[in-house]
Amino acid sequence: MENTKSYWQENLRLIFICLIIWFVVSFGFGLLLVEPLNEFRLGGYKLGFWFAQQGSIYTFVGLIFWYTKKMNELDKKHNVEES
Amino acid sequence: MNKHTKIAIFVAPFLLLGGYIASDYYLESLAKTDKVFKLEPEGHCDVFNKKCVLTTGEMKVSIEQNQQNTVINTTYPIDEAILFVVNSEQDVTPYPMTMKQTPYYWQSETQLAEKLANKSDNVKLRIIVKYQGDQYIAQFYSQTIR
Repeated sequence: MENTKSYWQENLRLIFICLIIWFVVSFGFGLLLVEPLNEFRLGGYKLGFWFAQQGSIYTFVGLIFWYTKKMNELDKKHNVEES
Repeated sequence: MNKHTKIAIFVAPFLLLGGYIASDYYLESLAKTDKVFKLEPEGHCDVFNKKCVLTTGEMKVSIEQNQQNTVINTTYPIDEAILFVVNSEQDVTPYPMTMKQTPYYWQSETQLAEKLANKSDNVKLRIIVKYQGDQYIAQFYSQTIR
């Protein structure tokens, strides 16, 4: 029971981290901080614009793989990995 | 593909859609707030000789004297325009303008023709133009150059 609770707590922590990153790159970089970020350029594009158009989506895809990796590690730690 | 990858790939599009919808609401709420833009003269301003254009972005306001009437012409169909004449004691006389056939042209009878009739005469002016809740404001000088 304690093991299950710990697994779930760590799972929630990972989800929470993912949601914070999701919010920061989409809302934060793409909208709230778009003007200061536009002072910098990435590949010829203003950075704030780039985050709104592409950067946030790349980050979301990256988050999928990061979450999977961390969850697989968590499964191993709690001996519940898929056979 | 294990279960975590499947869950992450399944959830990601919903977060993406949620992000777009939330962004849309946020930008819509921003757009509803009224804004103030500062108009700047394009070069020298000479209302008496019909050479005075104020601009900011796509909004241009041309001001000219037509006998006793001061007439403004804008690039957008504005809702209201008020011209202020400031004298040397900094007293301000407002001239609310009335629409002249279309909302692109507004006019008001003013004393500018007398104040600017001679070469080198100059007057301090202010203008407020309202368009779709936004205000376009300027303080500038008109000087007669010929």
